[in-house]
Amino acid sequence: MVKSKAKEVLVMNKPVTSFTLIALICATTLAVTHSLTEKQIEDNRKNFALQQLAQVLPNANERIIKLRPNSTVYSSLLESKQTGNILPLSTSQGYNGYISGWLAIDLNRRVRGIRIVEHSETPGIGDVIETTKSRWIDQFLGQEPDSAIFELKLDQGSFDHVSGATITTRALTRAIGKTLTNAPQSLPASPVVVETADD
Amino acid sequence: MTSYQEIALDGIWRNNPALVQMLGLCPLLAVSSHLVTALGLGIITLLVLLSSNFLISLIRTHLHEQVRLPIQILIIASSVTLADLCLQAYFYELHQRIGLFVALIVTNCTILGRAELLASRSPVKYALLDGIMMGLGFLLVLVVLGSLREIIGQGTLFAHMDMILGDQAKTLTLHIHDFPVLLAALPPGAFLLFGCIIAFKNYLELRHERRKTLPVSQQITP
Repeated sequence: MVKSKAKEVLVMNKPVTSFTLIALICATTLAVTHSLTEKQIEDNRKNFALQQLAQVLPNANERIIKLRPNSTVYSSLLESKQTGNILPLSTSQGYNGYISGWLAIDLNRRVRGIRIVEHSETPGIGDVIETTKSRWIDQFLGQEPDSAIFELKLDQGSFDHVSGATITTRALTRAIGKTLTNAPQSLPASPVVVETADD
Repeated sequence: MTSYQEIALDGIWRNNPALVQMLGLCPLLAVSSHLVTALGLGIITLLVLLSSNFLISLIRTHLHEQVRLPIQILIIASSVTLADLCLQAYFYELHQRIGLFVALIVTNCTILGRAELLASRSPVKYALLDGIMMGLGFLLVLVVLGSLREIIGQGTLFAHMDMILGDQAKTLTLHIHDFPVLLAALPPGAFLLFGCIIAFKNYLELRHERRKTLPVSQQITP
């Protein structure tokens, strides 16, 4: 009696068992692949970010170095004189989450260039933030922390939004403002550790 | 005709996933602006279709009615994630271009359709062949549409092939003309050209049909 009941339960649960087993196999395969490719993907991402870093400056002759080895901030130099800094820019408020990029500023914290490295905004709509797709981001060039309100005009700020991409452009406008206000003002007079960007 | 030939003909021509079933058009139209992106997504779709067909056919006796669809989706989604991870690791630049549409392969009805209609009720050898043929049929349409749109819309062919073939392919780019037609590069152009391809396929089929029936009608008329 007990035995047949146990068998019945087993038969009833057969779909559950097979589903669980297959889910486990799939999960294991993916976990193994993830751990195998993780480092390579991280490297690719870093290389791509550094490649973009070189393009954020308006002057191609400038060198990009790290003044402090452990900092996330890069500095730009022209003939060993510092022309400014390049700060990592990021926000998680994009329409599809995370957006990251580089923000180049001069010694007075004036914007020299912006480049988006990573985003998953809707192609054809939210990708206006890419320099190759639209000049939207150029309205930030030359701005300082106090020269403008870093909000969209429809939020009583100083910057235009893009119809259909309000969330994306709002997120980026705020991120640029925040990065700019938090940017270091005083800078070391001479490079302490010189580490080139393509290391 | 053997059933092998039937399956092959079905996938490539008679029941082509893109031209006849009209499935998976979102990625098809979105990535076909360049040959390289079209080829990339086509190959990934082919591989995913092949692996999902194979695996589902392999476990078809364990597919209980209540969990059949979840298991199929699980297998398809895992294959796609696997392909996406490999793409990120070894073809990062290509991933930057088509990454979003790779994830969307999960929702490509071609793949679930083949799993449901054929793989879950046929032996492995048929499922494998069907996966290859359906995948090739999709790839073929992608490549034709991608080439046409690149030639008309950009005036080039084989541009950025280094994203798939490595650095030595950088010189492959052919400059065909200097009058790029913007329409072909934009989504409406994709729809128009895709429509033209379908029309051309239908024309070929109709002509073939007429040739077959012509002798019969000639016999009747006199």
